[in-house]
Amino acid sequence: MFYYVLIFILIQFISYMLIVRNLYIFKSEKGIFLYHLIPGLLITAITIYLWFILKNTVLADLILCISLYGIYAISFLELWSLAQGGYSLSIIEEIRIAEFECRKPDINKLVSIGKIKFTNRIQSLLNKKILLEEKGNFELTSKGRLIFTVLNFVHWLVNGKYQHIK
Amino acid sequence: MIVIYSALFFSISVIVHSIVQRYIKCNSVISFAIISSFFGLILFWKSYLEFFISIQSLSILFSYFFMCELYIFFFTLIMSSISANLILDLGFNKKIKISNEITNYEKMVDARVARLLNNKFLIEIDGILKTTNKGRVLNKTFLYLKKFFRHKNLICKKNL
Repeated sequence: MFYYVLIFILIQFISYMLIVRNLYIFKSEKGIFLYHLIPGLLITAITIYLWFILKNTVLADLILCISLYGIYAISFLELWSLAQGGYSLSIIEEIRIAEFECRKPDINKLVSIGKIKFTNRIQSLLNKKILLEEKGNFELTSKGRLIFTVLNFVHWLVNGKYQHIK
Repeated sequence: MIVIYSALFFSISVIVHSIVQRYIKCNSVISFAIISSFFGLILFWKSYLEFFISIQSLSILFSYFFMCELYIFFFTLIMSSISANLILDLGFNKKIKISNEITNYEKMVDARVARLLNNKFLIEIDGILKTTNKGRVLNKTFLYLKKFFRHKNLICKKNL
């Protein structure tokens, strides 16, 4: 069974290279996420069907298939999102251009990229009903509080230091 | 049994990493990679003894790697994502007034520059930031990836 998943991953990657990456709909975060999520759910459903209904496969095979596809999808999406909008990568890029043009790095340009990113993210969080705005004051909705609890737990686990926005 | 093995070893890796992060100052991704690889090897040895090289042992190993990768993806996202930082900030401070006048965007750049200096992607020479070899390799790799994924470039004027 897992050989089929490997072949499927290969076909999905080749079709991305040849067609999908040039299509406008798959240039957005949502589009590329769905491009990986839907086949992932399909693979899970098919393997569960084969294991549970037809008794045609073993549980280990099912877990292997899901894990293989999961590893591929997460790696792909991580690289995709980093290449799309990694702020730190934009900083390195600006410094590299400054070196190339024999000038000092333009911090204002980096600050304005930060401003654009920040404004876009706030808008996106408002659209997803994670944030609530009232006269310029922002607070978390109940959905936002739930997300905060999860984030805060993982943050505590890795002993991370979050960055204040003000 | 398979899921129990992987989940158990994954949990041990997360707990050990959490303890290490509190006592040793190091890059969290690298330390988790080292810790999870160590426990991954033990898991591989254990599953090999029980199942040899089979679907069972492969599924134990790959499901363990999947969990580890998901965890790395998640905690790096929390530490570097603007949205995640904003949610954490709002969670701790309840209400925040955000406007262009009072939000310190330069602090966002400073925090990232400090992290890049700390991870040796940048170096400061006579007060001017320069890229190290490691930084240049990273920049080239991601310029290639940007082209591959057909992303728009935010600041690049020419191909370096």
